[in-house]
Amino acid sequence: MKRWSHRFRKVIADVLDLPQDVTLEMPRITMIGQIQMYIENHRGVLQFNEKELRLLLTRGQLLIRGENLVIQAILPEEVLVAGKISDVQYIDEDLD
Amino acid sequence: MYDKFMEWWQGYLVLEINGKQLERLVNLAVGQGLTIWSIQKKGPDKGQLSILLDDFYRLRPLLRKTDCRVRILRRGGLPFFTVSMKKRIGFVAGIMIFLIGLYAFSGMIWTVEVVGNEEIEEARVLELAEQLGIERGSFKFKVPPPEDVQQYLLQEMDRASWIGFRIEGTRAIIQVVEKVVPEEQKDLNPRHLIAKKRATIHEIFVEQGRPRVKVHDMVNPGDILVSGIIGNEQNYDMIPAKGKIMGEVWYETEVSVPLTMKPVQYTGESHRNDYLLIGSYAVKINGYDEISFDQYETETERKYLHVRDFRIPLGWKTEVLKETRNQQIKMSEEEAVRLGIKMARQDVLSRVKDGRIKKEKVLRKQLDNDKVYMKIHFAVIEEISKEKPILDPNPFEKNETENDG
Repeated sequence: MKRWSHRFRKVIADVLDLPQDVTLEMPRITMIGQIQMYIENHRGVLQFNEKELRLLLTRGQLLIRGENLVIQAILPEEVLVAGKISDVQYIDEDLD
Repeated sequence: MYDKFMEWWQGYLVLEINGKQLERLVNLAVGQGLTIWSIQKKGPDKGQLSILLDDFYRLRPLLRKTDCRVRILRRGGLPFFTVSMKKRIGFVAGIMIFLIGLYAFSGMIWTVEVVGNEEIEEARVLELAEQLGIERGSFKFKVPPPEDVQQYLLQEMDRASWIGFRIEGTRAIIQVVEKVVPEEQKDLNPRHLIAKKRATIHEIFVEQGRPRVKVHDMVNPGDILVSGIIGNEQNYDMIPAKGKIMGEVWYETEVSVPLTMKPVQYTGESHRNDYLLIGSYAVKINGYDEISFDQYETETERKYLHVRDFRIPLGWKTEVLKETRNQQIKMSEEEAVRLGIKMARQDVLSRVKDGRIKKEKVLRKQLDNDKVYMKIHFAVIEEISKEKPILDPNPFEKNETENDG
């Protein structure tokens, strides 16, 4: 059922040429060099310390590694991370 | 920017969180719509975050749920600032008094200016303005609207055709436009027009009166040109004669023109000295460098400081020395004659009012002593009439005899 709805959304997004983050609930990530990162459409903080921030996404997780990480601002669906980011990694649902 | 201001306005706390479930606490807090920011992990079981003061009380139950303990590290923002300011009440009061004073004084009128008046006295305008409450020290908001001011002032001053009123900062400006009153026509007394110069009549134009001369007549000074008495002996009237009588008057002018002239000519080189004036002393400030020329003319300019009309004995003098050059201009006799005639014309025309040269003739020309002497005759057309009041109440007979004689 979930697969179906996902496929349907994808088709709609392709046909109407909509940004995928709106329709597919995927994260939209904006990075300013290494120092700042802005993530929209996250689903919560899984793990946080100065070296690592693990965010829950609609599908899978997002793992951000770096040094002196600080969550500068956080809202239910948005998060602004600052520090020295070295690594951004997607972790698939299936592997989890 | 807005967020930062809101944080400051509402007040915020920087908290130290002791507990293993910082992430869960953050998720719960965000889920409940609490505003938190600057989240940091300080150690394995230690974190730090900032929170709005109002949201702190809503954080309490979440802390219990996630088994965290909290310690307040710092308080910031306006609510805490006011608390600390209460301890320095005098300082705050000073600031407030200053601000209130600044506001109050900038809401006052400090000067009333009257612009554009020539005939109407400024004092009168100011007096009228005062009646409306426009004077030094009155509050701007108490001043009636400009239309009312305009109307009132216009009503009170007959000689003004328009009044403008505006406030610029702390100045009230009253602009006056005065009526241009047409010159009053003088009630003329009966009079003749008489000749003021020996002349030949060239043109006659009579508005009122009886002309007594014809074109080409010769007249002597004092001759009646236009009579102010009209009618015949039995039935006459006296009126002011009016008209324009143009006559041809002869003038002789002598001029002498030197053939060599030495006009002053500037070379363009100049030297500037600046002096500071203190009382009656002048202290040279600038211009000690060597002057590279020895023939010059000096232009001096003095400026003093003024406080209103009072002159402070402190000023500045600027001296500009302009180098001059001796120059000789040698003219031919022909040129000198031309120049002489030109000078003579100007001389003649300066002696008559509203005239023009009809004819000119060089009577005598003589070259002597490096100078050209000339005697030039001019025939000038000019206004020759002059008014003469009729004083005799019964002048007819007398006039006739005078005319005959």
